[in-house]
Amino acid sequence: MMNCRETLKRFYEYLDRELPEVEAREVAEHLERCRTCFDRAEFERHFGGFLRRAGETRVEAGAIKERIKARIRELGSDVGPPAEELFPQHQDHAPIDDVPLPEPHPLAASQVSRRRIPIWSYIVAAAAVVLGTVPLLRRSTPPKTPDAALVRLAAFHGAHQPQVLASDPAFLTEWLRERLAFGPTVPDLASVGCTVEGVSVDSIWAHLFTRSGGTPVSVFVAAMLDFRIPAGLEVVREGNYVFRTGTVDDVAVVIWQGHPEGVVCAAVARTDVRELVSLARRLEDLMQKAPG
Amino acid sequence: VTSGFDAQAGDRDLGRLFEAQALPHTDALYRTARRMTRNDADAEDLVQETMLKAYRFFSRFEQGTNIRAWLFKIMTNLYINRYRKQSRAPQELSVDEMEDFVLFRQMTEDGVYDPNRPDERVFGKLFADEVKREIDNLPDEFRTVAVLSILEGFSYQEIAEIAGLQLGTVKSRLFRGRKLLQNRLADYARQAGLLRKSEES
Repeated sequence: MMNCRETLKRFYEYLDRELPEVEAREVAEHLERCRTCFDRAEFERHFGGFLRRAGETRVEAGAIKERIKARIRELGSDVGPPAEELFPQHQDHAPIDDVPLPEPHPLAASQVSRRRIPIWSYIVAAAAVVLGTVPLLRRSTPPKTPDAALVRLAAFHGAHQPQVLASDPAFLTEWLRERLAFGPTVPDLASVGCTVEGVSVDSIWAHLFTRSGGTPVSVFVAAMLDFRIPAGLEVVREGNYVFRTGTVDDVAVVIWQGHPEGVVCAAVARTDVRELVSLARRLEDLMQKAPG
Repeated sequence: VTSGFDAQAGDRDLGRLFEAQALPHTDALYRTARRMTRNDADAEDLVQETMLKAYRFFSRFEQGTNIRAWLFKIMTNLYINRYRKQSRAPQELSVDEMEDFVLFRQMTEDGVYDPNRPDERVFGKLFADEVKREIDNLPDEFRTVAVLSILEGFSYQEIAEIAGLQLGTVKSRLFRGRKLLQNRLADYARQAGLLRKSEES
């Protein structure tokens, strides 16, 4: 049973609905019994409302908005990777420990290992690769994509770091089916035997970059649970990582095993649009064959 | 490592996307910027700078997460790093020695607030002219969390993220900020003769 002092200590948290349920209930019980605290609570509630309304000045940011819009259009394609940090440390604050700073490189374990990734994210990533790397396809079939998906695909496209994308899996699956005329037969990844020279986590990226003849490549990291690794790929160990590497036509494939959660990742560098499309299909097919 | 290929088309998309997602928050950012900088011109600069920075970093924004909090975080960070350096005058405030919930006590004692009939309008009568100035006069560390919480309705956790603070720090600053604000408003009202001075009570 809370007394007045204990209640007042939690007063604002209670009013701001920030208290854990149990404590909130205890405060509420106290307020039912203590008239003074109840009156105080009502007072603070009304005072808070007054403050909020007092701060609700109508501001005219329309002109600012227009200026920002103009600047953005002006910047256009000048938005390379910024040299500065997004959230530079400042002195008199506690360290920011949750800032999404860029990962050192695309295949860093931490990118994927933090959370378990649903199987459909693979499809999403594949869709992103295909869309993000297929200007031709894009031009010939003007997208009638819903905004949400467009948003995510564009985010991928603009990303300097690959991301595992989350989106509406049903939509993206459909989108893939609609856009990509997959052939009935798909060669198995296992039939591919070619090594990727760079094996360290760092050098894979460099390798993919080099393979594409120095043109910027799009890489995606997809996670697949219970994914059966096709035989025949070169096994490469690097520290705690195990990779299977190979090349599908001009597309380098790196399958990354050994994740604590059994997640397997694939990184793909685009060199040719058609290969990408067929690769996406192959990977999808492999997914379906994955043991249940 | 360079940016994606077909950069121009991508940037066009990104620009459109940014306009659709981020620009609608300009009003709220500007509102808060004015409370932070206490100056319309600085507020405009701050908002513009925030948006341009957000745009440059937009590809890093994790889609599907809270863009409003992300924008406020960028702005708060910019503000702390840039504007605040000029105005930082260490103020030793003995907030802890001030009275808790002072307005409730004094206003009920003075009979200007009737607990049986709570009415927000009484605050308008007493403090309408003064409240904004007193919010603006709060020391930075209190003002930022107070504005984000009371005026913008962010949760404690969001504020912690935005301002780069520990959750406990947010709570304590909010508590002390409110206390300071109430005490200053009470002082003002006493000076203005709207509430009794303590020696009279």
